Amino acid sequence: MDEATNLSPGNAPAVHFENLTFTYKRADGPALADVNLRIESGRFVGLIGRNGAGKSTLARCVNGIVPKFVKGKLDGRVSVLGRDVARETVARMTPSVGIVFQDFETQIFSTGLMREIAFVMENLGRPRDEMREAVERWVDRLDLRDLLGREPSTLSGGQKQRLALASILAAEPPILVLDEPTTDLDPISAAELLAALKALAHSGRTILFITHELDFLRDADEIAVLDQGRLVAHGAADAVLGDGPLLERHGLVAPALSRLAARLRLPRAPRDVDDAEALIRQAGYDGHPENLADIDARNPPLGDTVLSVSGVRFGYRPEAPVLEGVDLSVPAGMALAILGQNGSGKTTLMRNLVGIVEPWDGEIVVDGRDVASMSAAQRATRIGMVFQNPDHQIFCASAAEEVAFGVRQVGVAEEAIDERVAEALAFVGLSDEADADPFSMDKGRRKKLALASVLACRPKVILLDEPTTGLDVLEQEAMMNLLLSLCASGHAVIFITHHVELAMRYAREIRVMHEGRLRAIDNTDFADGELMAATRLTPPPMAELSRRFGYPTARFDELLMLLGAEDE
Amino acid sequence: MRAFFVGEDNPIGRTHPSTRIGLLVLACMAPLLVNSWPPMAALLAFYLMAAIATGAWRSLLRVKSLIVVFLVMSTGLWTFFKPLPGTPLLTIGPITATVESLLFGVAMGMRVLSFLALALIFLGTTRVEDIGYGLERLGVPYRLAFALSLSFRLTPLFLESAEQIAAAQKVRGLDLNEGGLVEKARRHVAIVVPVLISALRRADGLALALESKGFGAGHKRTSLVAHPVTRRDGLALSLLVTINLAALAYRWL
Repeated sequence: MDEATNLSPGNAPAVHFENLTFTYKRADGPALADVNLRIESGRFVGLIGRNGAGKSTLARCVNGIVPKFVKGKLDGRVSVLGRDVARETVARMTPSVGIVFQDFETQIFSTGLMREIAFVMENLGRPRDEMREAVERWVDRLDLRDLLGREPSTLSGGQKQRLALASILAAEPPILVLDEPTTDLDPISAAELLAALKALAHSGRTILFITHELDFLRDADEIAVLDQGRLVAHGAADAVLGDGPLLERHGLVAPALSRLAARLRLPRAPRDVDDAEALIRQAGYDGHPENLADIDARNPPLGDTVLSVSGVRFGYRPEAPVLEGVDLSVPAGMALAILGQNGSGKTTLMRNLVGIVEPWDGEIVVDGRDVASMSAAQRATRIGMVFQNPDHQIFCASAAEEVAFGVRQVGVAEEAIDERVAEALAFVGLSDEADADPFSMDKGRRKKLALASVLACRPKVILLDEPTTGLDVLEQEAMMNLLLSLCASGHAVIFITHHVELAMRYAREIRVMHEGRLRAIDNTDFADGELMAATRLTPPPMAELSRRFGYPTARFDELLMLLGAEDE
Repeated sequence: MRAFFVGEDNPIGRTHPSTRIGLLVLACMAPLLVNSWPPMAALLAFYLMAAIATGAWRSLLRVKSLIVVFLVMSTGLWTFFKPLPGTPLLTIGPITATVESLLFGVAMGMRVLSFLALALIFLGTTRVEDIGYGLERLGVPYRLAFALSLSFRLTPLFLESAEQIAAAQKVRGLDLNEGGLVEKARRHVAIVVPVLISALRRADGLALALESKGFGAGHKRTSLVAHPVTRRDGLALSLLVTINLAALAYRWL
């Protein structure tokens, strides 16, 4: 596949990287090493690779942020529509290139949504009528109409991401670079974004799409794979996604259906769920429902109820309740996932549970005590919360000090602190980095550190807001396995995610936040089209496939057991 | 600063942003032209009416304790430290306060209150983007006008991240109300450090985020929102010019 770079010869390519090497100042090795990649106009190109592979660096070369705003040494050449990027300013590239950052919040600075969306076009001197039309169009495409009266800083994470996307897409530049643009989006919002991007590609725009979720790249034209700064593969999307060994070699995980095909030794990777079902039946798998009992036995036993929530109502403004009667009971040992539309109140619920805000009505009891009656220190030993952004809590000069901070607050005796710290760091696998500066760690490790600092207070209930955003697939698995081992040791773990497959793989129960309440859902609910549309969920392929065979599970490993696959 | 924004759908909010900047300058000039209480009271009454008409009175109410402090301090200080000849009122040690000095103090207090009301009316009716736009139309280079408005723009975002950080530390058991003064200050480190680091990162990323959005691309900038100049602008400016002339006349007569 390495040779398949010349897919549409002719005019100047949309983006052309030639012998591109970039080394960050003070870095040990290059972030990009001799990358040669030619992207023709009108192509939808996926860019994948482990964290640290150089994806964002490559993306930032397209409009010259690297090397103009980033210190380091660049060799080779980047050209966009025939223009040498090195000879232009970043601002002058804007008519040609729109870029949405992974850290999209830094791209928002207006006081209103419409003004934010128009900002690029205003800078480019577009006529007012054209801007109005474009703003209206993108407000609808990215479902922002109901939010128009809001101040951007008050939006939820996913709403902000949609705004940041609209603010770049509305100018409809010929080249769009999107760095993990779906991390905070609910499944339907992600699907809407993909549809809008496909339409743009169809009209001749070039899309460079960075993601860890390979399922989003099913309809891409091409995929390029980076590993340690090198372009290790580039070819048609089907070919790359179907090449499990290639993906694995570079620290990636093939889409679930492809993996399933490999484990069941199907003759080829299925295109979709229908295809998978046909292939599996042809291969003679008739199922082993008796294995269901084994599956149940694998789950750790559940303990007493450690969190009980009843009738919780809350809102930030009296006229706009967010939670309208949340009930929830969680036993020790439970892994519970909370799904739900952007802005539905998932994070707000967690903020109530840990006492950051107080509910209007209702009761929250943790480990036998009312949350409202406890001090911050008392709460921290019973219920902990790991925020989505680890940088909102990290402030110490070393990992060990960071973990010790919380332990000290809750009044653990000084001589016992070291032991607690060592235990928590060991649990998340950071023992060797106790003295490391947290700010020099990568995001995966900063997230683990944030978890360790909450664990060290030994709370019975642990809440995590999007524990896997910004992590690559292997890091995601490591994080989720950590959470499962917490459950096995008797903690109750509740996590918010937009990743339905992740929820189905790791959570024992799933709730969806809808209209201010929590609703339990299981695999059969994924067949309920109305419910899916109302809650803006889409069933992952595994859930769909599993239901075709009449099984309640949606977990990859369990479906394999039920189908009677041989062990690896 | 956004916290003071109340809306544009009012007599002042409907004027052109450049007009509003002009109105603000003229309205601030008038109280500087007079220094006796009757015209000052008239001006203040007029500005308070404007505050009511625009809805900015709600912001004034929110800072009412500040207003009381201003009035008491101003009145008190001027009364005792600017002794004016006239009817003695009260003698403390070597200082004799007169009715005249008290009235002068009251006038000065009203002047400060006028400025406060004007600032809140302006911020209450003008989005930060429009401050930049208004300045630009008055001939201030766009980059400078934008930079001036930037601190206002970033305030709500900055406050939001500070709020998040405080919440994250509270969950780890941090109680800011506990302990003595030194202990409290020490505890605030857990909030101040991440807030500063996130602000620095944000500032660091700001220039590239702005340039990536075409800021400074060299095009003639356009504006999504139309700001037509209407008769209203002329009327409002004439009214304030008249008020200034009246203030001048009062002073010289």
